[in-house]
Amino acid sequence: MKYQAEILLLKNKLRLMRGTLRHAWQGLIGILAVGGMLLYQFFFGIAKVGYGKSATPRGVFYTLLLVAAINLFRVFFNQTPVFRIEAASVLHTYNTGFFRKSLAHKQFLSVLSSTLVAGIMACILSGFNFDLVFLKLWLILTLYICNCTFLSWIFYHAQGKIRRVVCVVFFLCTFLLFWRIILSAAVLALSLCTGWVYARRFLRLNTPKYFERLQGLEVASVAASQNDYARMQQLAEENRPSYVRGPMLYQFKPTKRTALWVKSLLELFRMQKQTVILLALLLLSGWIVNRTNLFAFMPLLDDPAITRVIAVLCTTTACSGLYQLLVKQAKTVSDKRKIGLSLPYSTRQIIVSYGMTAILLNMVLTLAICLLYATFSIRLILLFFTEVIAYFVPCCTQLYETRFQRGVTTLSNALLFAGVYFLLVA
Amino acid sequence: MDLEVKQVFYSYRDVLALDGISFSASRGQIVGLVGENGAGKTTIIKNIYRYLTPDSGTITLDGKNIFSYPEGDYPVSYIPDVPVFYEELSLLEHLHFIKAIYPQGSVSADEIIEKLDLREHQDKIPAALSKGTRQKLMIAMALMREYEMLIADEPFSGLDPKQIATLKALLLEQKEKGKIVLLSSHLLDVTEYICDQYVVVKNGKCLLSGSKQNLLSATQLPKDSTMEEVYLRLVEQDEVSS
Repeated sequence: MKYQAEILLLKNKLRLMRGTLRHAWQGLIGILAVGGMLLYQFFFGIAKVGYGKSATPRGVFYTLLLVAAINLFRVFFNQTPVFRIEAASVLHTYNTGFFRKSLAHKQFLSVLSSTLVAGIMACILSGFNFDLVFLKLWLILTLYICNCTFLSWIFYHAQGKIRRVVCVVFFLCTFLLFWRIILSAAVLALSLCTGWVYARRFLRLNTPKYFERLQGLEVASVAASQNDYARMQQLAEENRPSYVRGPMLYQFKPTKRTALWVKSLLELFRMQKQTVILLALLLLSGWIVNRTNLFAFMPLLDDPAITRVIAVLCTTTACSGLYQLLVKQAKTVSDKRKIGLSLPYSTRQIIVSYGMTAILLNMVLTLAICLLYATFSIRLILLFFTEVIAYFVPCCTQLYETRFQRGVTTLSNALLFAGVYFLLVA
Repeated sequence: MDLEVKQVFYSYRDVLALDGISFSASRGQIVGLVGENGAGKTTIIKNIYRYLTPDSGTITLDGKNIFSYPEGDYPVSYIPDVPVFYEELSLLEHLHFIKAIYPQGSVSADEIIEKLDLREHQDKIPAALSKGTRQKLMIAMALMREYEMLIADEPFSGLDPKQIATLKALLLEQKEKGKIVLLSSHLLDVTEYICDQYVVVKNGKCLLSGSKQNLLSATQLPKDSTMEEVYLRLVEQDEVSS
């Protein structure tokens, strides 16, 4: 059958997408919503664009600055190749025309998507007026983004002198982007053609590097698609440093009674820095939106009723995220018994040991929230108890593997939300 | 058709991985590439498979530089040490994919499924296959192509004794057909009875190459010595001399 290989590859991709959508649709919707909101704020809040009203010169300048910054990252710092095919295709089709054809196909798709993105940006910046200004902006943005895509591809594979040439060409292109005259478009087009011909004809791919990176990326996407938490955990572990700092278990002189509790404390101390920063940022962003005027210039964020709800949401999300991590740690210990690790602890003992750490953490968390929002009242005891319930109930349902785990988690989150709302708003 | 690797140097940035290695292999031969971890075996294989380009030196196949073969005409098939698949395609779909890419291959998907006893797994995706079956699928995909040289990098890992015996028979069949088989393996006892020639690699150099008889006489070991003893003696001699 003609195009059978292409059809099979498409099948593989669609099945992967189906799995990802089935298991991670909430996250994807969240990302889309946040992305859409940020873009809306940027164009309509900061650049002051409207229907029939083009962006101010400063707005255009900031937009181009943002485009240049993103492309600077794409060309020089991004460790992900811009044209991605399946790692298996590299392995099984490397010495065939199909491999080159697949890459060319990706390049064509990339040019198309760049044209689309540039078109949307030009359209918004020109206030939805389809005139010469729009056309010029569209053309220059398209050529610039395409140029950067090819430069990124060349930079990824090349070494030495070629990389220096890429640097020079990138800064020349960026200069032309801001200059925005017809000559810019001509030079950018010339540069794009040269980059394309070089990438197709002369660039010697760093195949092992490309292959390894694709394999790594695929493992992550397949784990997400198949909802394989063990594999995702393994990936996270592989990216962690291979040694640990800070206190060690033996320093606490654990007994049988305290060993699990000490272990849970150490796991908390050794929690990844990024996770701690993310949780702290969530708490802080709620406070910034609610208690400062930093974002008051943006539409909707000047209304205290909305900012209060945002603050409650941020605080609830931070607490809920933390509890999920704690429950996961207890569950990992419990699961290890099933795969043969001889642990002399019952499920109840695991829940109690890990629960003690959770209670301590909840005390600190409640105090931190009260300090942050300067709201000291008897309600903080209520918040503490809702936090304890929000941790213990999902923990018990998951460790005892009862039914309705998802429903229980949702209800606990709702309770937590109510507790935070009662403290901060009511 | 012969393979000739002549004075090949290759560096990963500042690390010299191949230090002027030379060896050759002829049609109808199984050549064992043996050496410790990090000796440079996989780098040689990647150079021969054109994943990497030598810094200097030449690799020729049938007297022709391997880089002068046009895409699609490079008659080399490769079984990598780590199997890589399309995670959402079934075993049978993988074989159909290879058939679509290499339509000139003489073996059909059905034939290879029968040969490697994969029928009961044909509708499973790779994640649902055992390690040994995954390895068998990799081998099936490599054998379905049209090739003159087969490179196998640690093909026995993860296989049970029955599967090892099947793979050995398959490699011997390739030899009978007059193909060149380049076999990299740690399992010297497994390679012992199928390899005609050995290339012993250490630190990117070829310590010695030739048939087992040649290696035995070079190491002055008794005739009934195993390949493992030969290898250990060679490494020992190299360490003493350096």
